[in-house]
Amino acid sequence: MAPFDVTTWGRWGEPAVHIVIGFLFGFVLERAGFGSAKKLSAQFYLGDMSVLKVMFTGIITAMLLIYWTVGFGWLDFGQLWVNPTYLGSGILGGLLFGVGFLVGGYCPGTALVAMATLKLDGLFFVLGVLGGITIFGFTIAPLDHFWNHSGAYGTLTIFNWLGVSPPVAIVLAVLMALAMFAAGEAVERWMKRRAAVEVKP
Amino acid sequence: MKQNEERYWNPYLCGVLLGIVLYISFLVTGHGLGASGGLARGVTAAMKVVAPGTVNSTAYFAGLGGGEKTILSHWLVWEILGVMIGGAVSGLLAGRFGLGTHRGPQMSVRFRLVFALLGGLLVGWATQLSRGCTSGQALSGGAILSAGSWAFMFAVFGGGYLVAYPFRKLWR
Amino acid sequence: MKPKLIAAAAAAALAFGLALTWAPTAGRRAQALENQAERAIARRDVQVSPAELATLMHNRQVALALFDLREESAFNQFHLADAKRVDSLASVRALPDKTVKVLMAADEESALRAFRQLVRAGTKQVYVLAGGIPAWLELFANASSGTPALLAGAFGGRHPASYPDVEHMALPKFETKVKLGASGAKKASGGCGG
Repeated sequence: MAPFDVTTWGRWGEPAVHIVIGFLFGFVLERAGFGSAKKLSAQFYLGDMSVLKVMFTGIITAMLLIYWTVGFGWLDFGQLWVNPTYLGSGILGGLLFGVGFLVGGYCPGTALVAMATLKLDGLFFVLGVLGGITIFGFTIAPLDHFWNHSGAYGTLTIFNWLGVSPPVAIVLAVLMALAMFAAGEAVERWMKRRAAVEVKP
Repeated sequence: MKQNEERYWNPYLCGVLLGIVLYISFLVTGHGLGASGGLARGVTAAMKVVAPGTVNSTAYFAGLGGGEKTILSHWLVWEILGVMIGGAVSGLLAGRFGLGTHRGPQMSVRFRLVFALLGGLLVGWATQLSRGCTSGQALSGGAILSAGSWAFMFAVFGGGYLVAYPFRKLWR
Repeated sequence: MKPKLIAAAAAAALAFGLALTWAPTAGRRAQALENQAERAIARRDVQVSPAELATLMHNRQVALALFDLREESAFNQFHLADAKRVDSLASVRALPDKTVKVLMAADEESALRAFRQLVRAGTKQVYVLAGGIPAWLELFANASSGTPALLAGAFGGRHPASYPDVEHMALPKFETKVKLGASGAKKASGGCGG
């Protein structure tokens, strides 16, 4: 039953599997235009909602595939990694991440793609990330309690939090994503009209 | 700078493809994607070479690679190698490969690079605080329905929109 | 516009379809056990504090089995007294229901992964060490942030913190997590009061 213990796939099994997965990931990111900070940042100026579309389509596609396979008994949910919930550090980290994303124009994954296509701003962003990680190691000690305990609920899924079965949460997530796509497209059209109006003599 | 923007694929299509890749990752390995964790290991490995004492005595780095731990023999490191190769190949095939700097119309290259560095610093710090980035937390944690990951994801959008207007000169 | 509407309808249909077909007969019991496990984890019912575990280790009435999930080098550097290092959970599952089984790792999450596997397999009386070995060391070895790297050398199970002298130390207050029933998790009474 899936998933598998790829560490038992010979010496090169685990590396090979992950390089392939990473390859596909990086390839799709670049195809979407996410190797460009201009494309990524446009999300925050409302003219181009691609980040929203790619991200949430990706999430609900994977979610549906995962839970359908779990439901058929082909995929063992208990073996799947569920990120532990740390609300304090997660939310604060998310906000800071969002600011850095806007200022720098990338997130770590997309910056790697940009760097791989020889974009200097991607390279500088990655260097910044490496620096930020280094600084973190030396500055986290006084924040240790906040980091490890604020809103720390361990493994908490949305469906357990709501006290419902997984599909109920999935239906909610899918409906929310569809609503966001509709709203996003409406905003895109509105922004296009605004731009057209401004250009008119 | 070559950038065939009209050839970007439809975002929904890319989303579906991304979701399939993410699913394959969970199906085969049990975990999702990631990026920042791989870079953190890169930092720790480099530090181990130049200052092993520091790695062993600083809790955060020690946890990643102190003592006898092998640092780079980890799926995140393999994966980000793959990400770079995949990105390069796609860029080559699409005519988007080549030296250049993506920047807003009002930004000089120099300023853009400075802000890229500063943004990266903040993002780098933040990813360690939130235990992941958009790949590991938002996409992967989001797909598996981790509550903390969804909170992180909304916070990212919140943070970005919050400072979009003040920093508009960067991109408009 | 049309292809998008079709795709959106398909996504919604898949989601609703999942809801309607969920809890297939085979998965239902496992799902229930799993939900139960997740709720217990979320309520922190199964995370045993170092203080409680140390107290339990001194309680001769309780059949206690400690399992360390870390790699060998970390285990050799330091481990709790009588803790067994395991790579597979078979030996944990093989123990009697009443034995209190505590899993420990470099962090809580790793131990919880194994915890989930065991609960899904129907193993009873499984707990994890809250905060992992680092939390243990923080309390009993004055190691700030509890990284084993701060202990120079390999102590195995012979470090003072491997079997803390709780009788002569001021323990922080703890919430009791381990449930010892009326018959308790008692050892089969031996002859020599072991």
